[in-house]
Amino acid sequence: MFPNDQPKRLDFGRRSFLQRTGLGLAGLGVTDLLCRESTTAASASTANPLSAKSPHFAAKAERVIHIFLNGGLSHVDSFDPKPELTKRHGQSLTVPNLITERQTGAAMASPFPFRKYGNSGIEVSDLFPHIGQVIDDVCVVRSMYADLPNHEPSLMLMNCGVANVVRPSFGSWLTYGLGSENENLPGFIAMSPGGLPVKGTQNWQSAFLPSVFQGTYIDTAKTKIDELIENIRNDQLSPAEQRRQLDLVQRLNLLHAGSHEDDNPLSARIHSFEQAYRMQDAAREAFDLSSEPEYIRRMYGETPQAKQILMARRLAERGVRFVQLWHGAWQPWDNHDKIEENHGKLASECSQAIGALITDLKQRGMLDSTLVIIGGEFGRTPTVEVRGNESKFGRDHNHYGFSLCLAGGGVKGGYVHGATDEFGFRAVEKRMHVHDLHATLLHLLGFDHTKLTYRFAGRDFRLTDVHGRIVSDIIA
Amino acid sequence: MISSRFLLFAAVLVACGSLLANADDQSAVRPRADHFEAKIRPLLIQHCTECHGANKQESGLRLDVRSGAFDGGDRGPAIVPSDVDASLLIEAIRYETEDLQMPPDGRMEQDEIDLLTEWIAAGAFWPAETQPAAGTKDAHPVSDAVASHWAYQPIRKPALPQVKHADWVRNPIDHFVFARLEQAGLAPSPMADDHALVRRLHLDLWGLPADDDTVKAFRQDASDDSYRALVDRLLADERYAQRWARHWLDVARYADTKGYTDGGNRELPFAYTYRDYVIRAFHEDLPFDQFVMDQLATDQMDYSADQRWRMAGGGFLTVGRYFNFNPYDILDDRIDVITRGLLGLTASCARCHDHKYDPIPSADYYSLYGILNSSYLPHHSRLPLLVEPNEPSEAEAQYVAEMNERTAAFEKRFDQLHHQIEDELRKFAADYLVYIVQESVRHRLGETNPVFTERTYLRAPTAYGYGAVRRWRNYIDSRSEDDPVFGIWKRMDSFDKTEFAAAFAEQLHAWHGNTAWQQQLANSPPESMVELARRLGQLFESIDQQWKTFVSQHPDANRLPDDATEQLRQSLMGPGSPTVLTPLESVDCYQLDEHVELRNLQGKIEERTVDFPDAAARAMLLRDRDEPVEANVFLRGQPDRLGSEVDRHVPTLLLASLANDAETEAAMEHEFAIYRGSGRMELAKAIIDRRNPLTARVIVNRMWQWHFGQALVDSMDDFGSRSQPPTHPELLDYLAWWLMEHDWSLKELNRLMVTSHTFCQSNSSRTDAMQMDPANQLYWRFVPRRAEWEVIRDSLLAVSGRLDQKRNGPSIPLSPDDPDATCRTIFLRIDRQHASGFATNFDFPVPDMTVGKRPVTSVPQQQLFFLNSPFVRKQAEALAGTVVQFDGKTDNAKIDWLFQKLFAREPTDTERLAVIDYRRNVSSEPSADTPANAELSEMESWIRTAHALLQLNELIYVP
Repeated sequence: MFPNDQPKRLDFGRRSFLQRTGLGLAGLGVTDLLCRESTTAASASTANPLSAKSPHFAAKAERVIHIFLNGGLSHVDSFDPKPELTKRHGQSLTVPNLITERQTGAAMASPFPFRKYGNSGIEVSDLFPHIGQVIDDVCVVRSMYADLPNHEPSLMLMNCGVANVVRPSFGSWLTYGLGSENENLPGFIAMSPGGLPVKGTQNWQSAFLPSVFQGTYIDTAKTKIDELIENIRNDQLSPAEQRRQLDLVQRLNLLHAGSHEDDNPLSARIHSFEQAYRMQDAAREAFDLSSEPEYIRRMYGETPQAKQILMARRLAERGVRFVQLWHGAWQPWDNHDKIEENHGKLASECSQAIGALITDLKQRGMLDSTLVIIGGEFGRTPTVEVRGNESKFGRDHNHYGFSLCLAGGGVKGGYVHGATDEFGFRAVEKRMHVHDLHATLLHLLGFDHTKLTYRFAGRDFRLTDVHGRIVSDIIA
Repeated sequence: MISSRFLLFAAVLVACGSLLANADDQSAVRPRADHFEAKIRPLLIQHCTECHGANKQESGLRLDVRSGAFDGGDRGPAIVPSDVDASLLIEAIRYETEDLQMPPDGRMEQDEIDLLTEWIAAGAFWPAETQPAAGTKDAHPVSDAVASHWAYQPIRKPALPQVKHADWVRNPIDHFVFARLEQAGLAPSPMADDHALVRRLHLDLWGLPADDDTVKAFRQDASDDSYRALVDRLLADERYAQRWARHWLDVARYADTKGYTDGGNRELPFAYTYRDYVIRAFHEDLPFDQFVMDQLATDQMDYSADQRWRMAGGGFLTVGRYFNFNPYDILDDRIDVITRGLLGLTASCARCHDHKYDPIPSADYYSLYGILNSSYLPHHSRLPLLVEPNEPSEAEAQYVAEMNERTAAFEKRFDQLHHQIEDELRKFAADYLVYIVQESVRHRLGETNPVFTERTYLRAPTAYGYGAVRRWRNYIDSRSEDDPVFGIWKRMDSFDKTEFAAAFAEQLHAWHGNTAWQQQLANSPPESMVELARRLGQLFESIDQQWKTFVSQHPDANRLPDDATEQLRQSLMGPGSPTVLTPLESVDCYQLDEHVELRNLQGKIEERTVDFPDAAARAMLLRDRDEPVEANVFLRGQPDRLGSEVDRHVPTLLLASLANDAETEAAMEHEFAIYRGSGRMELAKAIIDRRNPLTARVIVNRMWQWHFGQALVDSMDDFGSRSQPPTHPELLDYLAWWLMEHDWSLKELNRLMVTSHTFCQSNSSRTDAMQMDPANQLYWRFVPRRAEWEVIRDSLLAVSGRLDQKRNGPSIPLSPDDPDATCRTIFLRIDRQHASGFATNFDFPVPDMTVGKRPVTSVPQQQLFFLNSPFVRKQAEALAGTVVQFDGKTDNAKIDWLFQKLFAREPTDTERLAVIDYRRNVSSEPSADTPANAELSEMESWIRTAHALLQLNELIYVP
């Protein structure tokens, strides 16, 4: 059971609020009254399951930014150097039988040179030099593994903890557990420029959790701020005009509530109207990058990915609990062909901004409380993909071993966890399943993953199902 | 050795297990049992039970049951409680000795090893087994559980309790409710006022607001039965059915798309026929038992011409998510909607293991799986027409012709692939057999075992199917050491590769196998298991060739002339051979691209319907396959791990509860035995049987929740042992009895509920009652609640006069907040992959599973919709458009008209003044921030006024 309230039954304890704000007060400035109420009477929003809650125990991480390199980042070309692969380039490898999706051939050396960075000397390839520069704040997990070589189940596993059946996403669980620190913004936001990733909105689904916990999708390819969030702006009324209209609404709502003084749902909606009114400004302001100084914008860069990474920092600053950033529509990182060209282009779109994000969070003192996750749903094969008898210079899916980067939120920086075999096929040392990742991330966020549960269909469900081990090695 | 102390301890535990009343002992055992279930058993399942479980007992050891683990296998006890050093399990997982290292594919993580070690050191608490291993239904103590849990007890009519407030009693419901209230020292509330009552009734029964005239007429009608007359009128109207069908669609997880698909068609263009069926069923008050029959066994009913519309009920099973065409998940969804939706049983829990809390063994889940897997959804071209057209239009005729063409293309490729796969399995037999040997650690040579051989791409497990490799492996597993062809394989398999050469001659000698094969081996003995496999495979391949040549010369041949060769041929392609597949089994062997190809060919058929919205309506019903398919238990729910075979039967729990009253379980087994067909008919009959204690209870509880906003059993979809008992058990039973007594009429049940005093109570709060029962579990008043989003949207359209009259047909593919969408919300297309933000912000549940109760939240996004959406603005414009047409009316009169239109009442003086006050600001004080609005038009000022009123709580709360 979750220690705090499950949004099940409404709390009826709101006599005083409505008595004080009932019929007799129609003459007062309704706005003032409600603003004051909203700060003093937290319980006015008991019907709002998004109000902030405490986790099971005190923890450093308070929010998450998940940069999802959808399609599958090649670990042997980025964070997991394999000299043996270079040595044996073009040769067929003797490895245990690992079933991947398609046919692969000989070993393919990474076209990207690796360099040592930072005090830790961790090697990072030229795909992500900017992550190299902040590597002492990054924990590189080289021993991730998942269950299946296909995108759809692996996306579901990474996001929802189960490959096939419909279950709530990590962001939904976290928002359910922690609520939102900012009532004027959605608690869980998913962004992807130009369209949805594979599996679409299921990646941020709330499933059996109340639908308010699902991610709000924002297409960051849209350039007008007002188009980013539904109904965020009124086309006909100026703010002052709308305020006057809302004053009438609230005055009449209070009169109506006067005859139902104990009915929390009514007062909750009155309160919620004020939140919505403020949200219009707050949301526009949060997504407005023009208010960032020039040097900050330059630091992140100009690509659509860079813009949404900067937006994520602004949202994190404003208390949004979980921001998930997809590289783009469908699965851009799924490079079965020409990995040098394709991975090179994709990394150039986000490397600088990811480095900037970590630097920026740190200089603002937010890195400790913000957990940054960088990675895909699985890795790629060390062997080259073959179709017909032709080499495609790309790599197939590989869920047996892959890398993931974590930064901030109490994670041990400048640290490499685990290892794959000499070629990078399979995680062999300190193997870390996706369930273990989830258990550990929840721990960093203050939750016992076995106790963050929701009763559905006769069972207490949780993100990690019956699995998950906390990997304490990666915790600072 | 197991200490006597331990045996004593175990005996005590067993005793505790049967003495539930012994609370102290239970509390001591519980945490350790929880620890075992949470930490220890998952580890054993993850690492051990594949080889040491119900299906396979390597070295005679089972680690899935306590007795197996403690008694141990060939080497001795695996677990000796409190004695870590004597426990072979620990020795094995520590990888300390050369010859005993488990699991074979790599050492467990250290903290896992520590957990198991500590657990054994602490006494290895393993709860007494109430359930044997998966797949053995006979030993499952279903009857005991049935005897002890309230929900499985027969439904009997309880006597009406006497109550003090007898003058307020309107029907039997009030007896039960008042009795509980009075017991708690509380009184019911008086009747609500006329205005609240009429509005409540309309929102509840129609999902639409009452109009002013209705409220006025009701006020003026002084007759005794005015309320009942109003109820009758509302129930008789189709708008009632359009509202109540939507409730059922929550149970049926209705949507118009399949959800995410990679390839193929993702639309369900005939889903609407199911929605229309549900509406008509409610409108015509189809008895609930027949309603259930229609939805489960549609294809086996014999409908008269005027009842053909009921075939569309089959959509209940087919409008769920399609899980990217993953067959296991599709069937799981169908099992779930039947068991949770109709019976309140969480049978899906038994997909991976016997149900932890309820008497539902895996065998029962897979029996349901077998029933549903023996059924299939035909292609669009083969779905029955709901109305036989007299003379199809030219477009319809062309549509049918093209669909048939596309169906033929699909079937041609389907057959081709089936034969191709059978042929591949024979002509590349050596590759398969070598692959299987290379998979075993004991006989592997070198490290590689490629799925791509030089000749073929082996049909190994993929994410989409479990392939032909499994067929070969299962076949070999099932052979004995005396098998004429595989006997030598079986004998040699138990040796290690280092011992192979030395042992071969002796084993070959002891075996009496196929003479040709044995002779060949004697002439030139293989040196490894791999070579043995290759040689047998090559022999098979040559037989395959011989047979092809022979048949081409002797088309009527049914055997090869030589006996030994014919024996080998029988092994390769005779009955039971892995290379003989049904078409359905060949699907399981598809490679990814073949799946996608077939999916796309099927999509082509369906796209023709998507492109032709005028297509005559067809029922999305399941049909029985020609041959029913028996199911195996999937161990841990994984289709590549087969457990025992299960016969198709009605779940044991149902049989046991049907037998509860008088007859024996054996009699029930006989009565509901499945003799032919899939078994959906027998399942449906068991569900609607009046002796079934669940069906009636589950539906009356749902109906109660839809009327009162809270249920008698809070977990509507789970009546199992983990559910809270009913707040009013006798009332629940009375209603269940009453429903069956009234021929399962849901409309009569609606009438009973809304004509109770309990439903008609005032919604006013009372201090005494609020303190004692703030959640109103005792029903001391009617709690006002926010309406569902469909009611909100429909109300906005209704009060503005824009609601259209659509009453059936294909779903409207407009977004619900599109200002131009004017149909009732139930007629809008629901895309389960891209649900509308409007809907989800207002708690519309993911239509992927039965949802008994939607959450009711209040989040700012809902209010943003009211403040800013073009949809709400559009309704305000329509209202204002009418208002400005009124010639000679005063502003006061116009405001009064708006209040009447929206709230079916006149404003109070205070309210009217507030609006006038606002209008003075809006019209005469030009806004400072937008000077362009300096002269606000009359129209715009009324739009803003109407818009404000549309946002009021009063509009969207059921009073």
